[in-house]
Amino acid sequence: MRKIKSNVFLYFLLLFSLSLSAQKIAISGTVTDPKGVPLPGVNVIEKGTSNGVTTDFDGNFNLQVAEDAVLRVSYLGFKPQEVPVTSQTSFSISLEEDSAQLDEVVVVGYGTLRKSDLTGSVSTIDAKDVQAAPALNIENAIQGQSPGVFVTATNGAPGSGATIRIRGGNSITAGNEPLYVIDGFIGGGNLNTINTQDIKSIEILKDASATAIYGARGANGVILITTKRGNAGGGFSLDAFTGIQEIPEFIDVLNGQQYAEMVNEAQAINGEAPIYENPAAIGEGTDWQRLIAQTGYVQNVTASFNGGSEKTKAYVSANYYNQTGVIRETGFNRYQLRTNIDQQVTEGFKLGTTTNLSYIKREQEKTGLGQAIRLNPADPIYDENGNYNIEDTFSGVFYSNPEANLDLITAYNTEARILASLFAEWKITDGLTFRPTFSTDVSNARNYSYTPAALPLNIRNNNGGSAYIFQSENISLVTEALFNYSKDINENNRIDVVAGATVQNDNDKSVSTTANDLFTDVTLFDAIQLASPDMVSVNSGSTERDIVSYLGRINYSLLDKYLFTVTGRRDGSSVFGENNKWANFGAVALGWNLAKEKFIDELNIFDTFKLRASLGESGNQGISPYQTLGALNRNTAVFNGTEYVGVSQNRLPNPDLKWERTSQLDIGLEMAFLNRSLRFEVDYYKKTTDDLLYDVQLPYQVGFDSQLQNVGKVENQGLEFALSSTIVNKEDLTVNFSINMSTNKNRVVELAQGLDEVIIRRSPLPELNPLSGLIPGETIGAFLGLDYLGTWSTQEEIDNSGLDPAQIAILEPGDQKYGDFNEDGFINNDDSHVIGDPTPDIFGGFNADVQYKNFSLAVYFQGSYGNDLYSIDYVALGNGDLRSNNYGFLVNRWTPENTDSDIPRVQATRQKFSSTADVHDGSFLRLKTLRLGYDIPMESKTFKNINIYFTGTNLLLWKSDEFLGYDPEVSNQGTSTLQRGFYAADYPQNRSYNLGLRIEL
Amino acid sequence: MKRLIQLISLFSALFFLGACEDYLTEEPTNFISPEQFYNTSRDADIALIGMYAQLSNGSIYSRDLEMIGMHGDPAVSPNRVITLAQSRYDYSAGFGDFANIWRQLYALIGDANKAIGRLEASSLYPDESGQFLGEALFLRAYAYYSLQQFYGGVPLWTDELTDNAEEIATLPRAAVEEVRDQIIADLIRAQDLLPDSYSGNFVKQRATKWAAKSLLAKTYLYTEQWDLAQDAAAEVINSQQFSLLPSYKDIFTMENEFNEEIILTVDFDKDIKITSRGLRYGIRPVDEAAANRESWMSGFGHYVVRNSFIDSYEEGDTRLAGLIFDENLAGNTLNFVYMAKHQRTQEVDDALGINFIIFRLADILLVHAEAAVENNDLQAAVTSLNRVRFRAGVPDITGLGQADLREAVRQERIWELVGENHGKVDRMRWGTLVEDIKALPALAEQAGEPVGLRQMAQIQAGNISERHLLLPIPEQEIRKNPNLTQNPGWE
Repeated sequence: MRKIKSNVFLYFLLLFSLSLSAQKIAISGTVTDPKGVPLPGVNVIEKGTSNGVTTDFDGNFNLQVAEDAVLRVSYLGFKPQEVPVTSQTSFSISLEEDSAQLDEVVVVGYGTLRKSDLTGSVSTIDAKDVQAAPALNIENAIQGQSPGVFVTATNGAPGSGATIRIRGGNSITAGNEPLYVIDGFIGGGNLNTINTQDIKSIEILKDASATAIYGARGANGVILITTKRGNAGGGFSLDAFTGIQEIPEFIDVLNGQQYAEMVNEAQAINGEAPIYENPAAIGEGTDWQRLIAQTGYVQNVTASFNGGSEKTKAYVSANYYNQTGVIRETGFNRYQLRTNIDQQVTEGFKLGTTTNLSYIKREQEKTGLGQAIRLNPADPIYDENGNYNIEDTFSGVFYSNPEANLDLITAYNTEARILASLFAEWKITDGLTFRPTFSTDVSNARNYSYTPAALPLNIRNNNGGSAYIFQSENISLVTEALFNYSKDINENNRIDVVAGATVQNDNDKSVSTTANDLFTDVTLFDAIQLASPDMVSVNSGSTERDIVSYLGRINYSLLDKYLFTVTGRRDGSSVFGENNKWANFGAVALGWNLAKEKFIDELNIFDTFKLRASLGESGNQGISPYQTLGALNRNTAVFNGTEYVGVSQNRLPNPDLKWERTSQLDIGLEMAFLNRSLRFEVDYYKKTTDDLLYDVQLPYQVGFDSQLQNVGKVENQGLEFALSSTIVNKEDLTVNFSINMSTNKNRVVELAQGLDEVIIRRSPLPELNPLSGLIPGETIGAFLGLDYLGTWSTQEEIDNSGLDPAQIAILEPGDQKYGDFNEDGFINNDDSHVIGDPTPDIFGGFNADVQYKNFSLAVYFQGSYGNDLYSIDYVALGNGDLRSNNYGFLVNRWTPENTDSDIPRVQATRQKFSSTADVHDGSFLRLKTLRLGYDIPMESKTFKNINIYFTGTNLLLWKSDEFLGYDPEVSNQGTSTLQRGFYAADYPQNRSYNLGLRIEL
Repeated sequence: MKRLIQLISLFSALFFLGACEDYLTEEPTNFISPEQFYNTSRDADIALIGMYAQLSNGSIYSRDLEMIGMHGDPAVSPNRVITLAQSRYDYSAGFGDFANIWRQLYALIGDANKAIGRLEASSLYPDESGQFLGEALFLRAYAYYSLQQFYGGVPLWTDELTDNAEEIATLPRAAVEEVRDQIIADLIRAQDLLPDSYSGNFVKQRATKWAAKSLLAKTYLYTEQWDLAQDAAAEVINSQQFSLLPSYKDIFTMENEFNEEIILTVDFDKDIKITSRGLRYGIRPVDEAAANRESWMSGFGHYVVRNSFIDSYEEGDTRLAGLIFDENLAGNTLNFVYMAKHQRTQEVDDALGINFIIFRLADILLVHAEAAVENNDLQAAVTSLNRVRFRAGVPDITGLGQADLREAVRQERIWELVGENHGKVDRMRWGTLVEDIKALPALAEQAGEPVGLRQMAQIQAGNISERHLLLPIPEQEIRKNPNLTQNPGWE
């Protein structure tokens, strides 16, 4: 591994050395705007050559040029300037703003637009903010960076992703994750394969005007990721950091002695002898959580080269990432290489390629904290013979010993992926460009796992080892042809038109092999042929999906004041019913640049004052292929010791199945004041999603359980607010601040005909009462249960409760006191009602960064307020149930001597409903990233800049006292559409401390 | 300019591709669609195997249907899970198992309808489709038979499912007579299509002519067409294909799963399909203290035979040896006597691979006897009855009148077939279930049963009423199809 790393490094040194040109004279300088603010990323090129650089973060550049050279300095939004090099070697160049170009350019679907011309709601996330965090992938880096975008890590395991809701969830089965478009490639796969350092910009498209161009896939919002491309000039940079990671806080559970005492208390109640003779001798017992935890370690190295000539430009980067997790035997590795090349073939004809190669390897978890917090803390790790202990000293139940699993199990996933595209850009006439693109995304993913015969439970049950291999090959091809017409017709009329067609084909194939009862552990999963043939099973599968689309958009700007956008897309998708393959989507939008109106301009307050409104429709096609077709599936039967393959029909066709449609209204206001040093943006939106894809339960007499149909309606509305400010902007000191906040109200409007409730999840035995559901008028996945009112203190209290005598008869002092919500005298499932809402009232984040001389400090806070979380663990750990360990607070449980306690007695397991006791406030605020950097001052011809930095993540976390997990920002159910806000002792987010070095040449 | 034209034509080609509808037509290769199937006799065979496979799944004989047939039988009690609603007779229309049974039997009916429709339309029809068509007809009849046995009249459909889902989904319950007429019509057709026997690994697990006639005889008991029932049973008895094993105990052993007494069985194999009849069976306690418990014991052995029922056997009845385990693994005498039939006794391995017997000759002999009694052909009844008694080692019955002989035949069925999912459904058919359960507390007291069994007897007797002669129509089915009406007492 180390060898590969150094090879990559050498390779880049080699590339870099090729780019070095013959030495001439050395010059240096600073490029600033008219106010003296340094401009990073400015192109400084020796005119007529390919020799050039871009300025660093502080606007500085160093370059070697011929003595009589002329420097061409150019930057978007500014007038290019030519500066002759005479005897001067130090330059201070001030660029003039180009009023025509003053605007930033924003990437939108299938093109770019000036920000001032934009009529849709598009958030741009500064690549710098993403790169400040030592994050593996962008999902975790964009948390809290953009209003209306709610990002939740699925868990903290190395390489795990996040679940993202842009303006709330629209769908109940078809997926709510946004569409990712990487360099124009729709659905560009696993974000772990993209290096955040390669990213130039991230744009988030939110309203219908922005997303309608993605038609049937745009309804959940779109995240556009644009990677860096070469500049003439350019340079080389090396960025490396290394750090340690830890679990910030462990869950407080009973120690060995406390648990043993509780067991003895239960035995005494039943009139039986104590199990543990001397609990005090057990002391702390085994701390299973800390046993499986460790200090993690991360290292990340990115080398990138950016440069070329006027005609040929390249951006090349390589990355090595290596992380060991905060739980033993977990980790993640990435090797990645990017090559983006642009070639100007002739004056009007350009070719370009984008290539990302990656290989990732992820260790699967061998044991989990969920088990660790439950295991009996009075149990030893090893028994008296030195073998792994697997028999619970209290219950006698056999369990899987975490230490044995960590020592013995092998399990990991790998993925090799190529994301590559080739495009041409041809200027046919003035303003008219034709751009065909051909892209591929090829990946090969594998899972390997082996559970050995040597595992103590396998030894006990006399089972051999089990090997499992899963391989999948996914190929996605996109052909795209786009015409763009962009023309300033005259001073008052500007038009920008995009029209095109795309065809996409996705093809997935998979094979999985399982072998059981292997007689040897030596060969792991690498010699499955050694297993007995009847112990090997193989499955294979294949799916294919085709999408054909036509798209178009017209942007028209009148007098720079009045903006009109019309967008349309026609999509045909193979996954829908024979009668509904095609659908049309579109949007209209208006913008009004009030700042250009005389009456506003005269106020002399606003630098920007824009109102915009859009209305349109996009879709969701997030279902798997073949759902509309009837299918016969394998159903085997045994005849006299031999298994015979049979088939039976398990899916009813639905030729009418079609897309979900989301219509959205957006009204936005953008303002900037004080020379744009204070910027403000607010949006209101309302979305309605119809024709929800939903697996409707059929009467079983049809012979099928359900059929995917289009039924029901969901609504989201919210407000988004963003403010950013340059508070201080002086030569030695700059201070920037930005904040964003959002609200979203999500509501199920109606379900399938005749349905007033769909139960998503129920509490465990014995009650099985509804725990979350879809209820018209409530949020998707609202939490359901009873009110928890503490404990019944005394028999007298029970007798005077006014409940039905039959109910009173089964209650005992110290039992949970649940509210009789419907006042029928019984405490049962009929008392269930909505007790929590997993969507936050407000969420957002704020960034502050300070530059003082060579020092820079950036902090980034992120949080949410008012969301409820449902603890999956509480039912097992919070009720005195001795089948598992309990939370530490159970030491204050109800006892005949402590009758005022709100915490149930030992073994209060008769009635355990889903209740408000399981629902906890999920509000939090965290210091997500802190980055402190220092530019080493130097006068060097070789180095442009050397920066050393410290980054810390999750350094501070404020959360509710009710919360009983590791981190309130969790999604136990992954990216599940319906089950939001559940938490358990899942792999926690780590706290990390990293030291890094960035060298630019 | 030439290049421009080329590009534009390339671009238009792209449009053309999109416009072509075929491009978006799915042609899956990872499964077969019903339209691509039932073309060869191999296809037909595989479709049939897929149907037989359903008999051994969790909703039918590896759990739900078997449990509702066994629990609540007056002769047996659950060992440990005293909360089992089926045993306590305190289930409601929302009880999940009943919906599962309903669903799985209709899935089987849907597959059978599809197979029958497709086979009749295929090129195999009529010459090569015979056996398969017969099997599909038999399985459809068997599914409807099970439905009418537990639910009474049910929605009845026999057409292939195509675009008529809406119509089927709204069907009301047919009269139970209509359902039985359909069963009889299917079986009359099937018996001429089916072979006498199969070869190779298909020993007793696929429907034969005799299985069809057995089911026909049993259906006639429901329609009270006693002469037809007697004739059909007689054909099975006289077929020379089946004989009573000399030893009762041997019928139920793993080594002897396809013995000559068996007419039709559902094949289970724990090593191949580990889902089969697993986990509920097994461990008998090892230590003495557990063996002597008066209340519920630990361990997962599922069925306990009531001491009162054991006491009811006649002196010298050899069937008891095949019915019970009264010692634990360490040799201690058990207070709770396990049912040995269909049980496994190993300590560690819980899964059970023993077959589930659907029809065996003794059952059909007693069907014959029962029909003959009702026909007042007492001589024929006594002959069949005494064949069963002879094997059990108990003396022949002679000289009884019709009423006494009816009682004797019924009692013999209970003794002979206990633990094989007959005792409860027979009593439901005879209408004697409620009185037999009500009598349990006194019998349990008299037999000195352990506390746990006496408690269960009281719970059962307290809860049972006439409505338990049929299961409730699953609540959710009525909600999904409001045309369904509930059974009496369950509204």
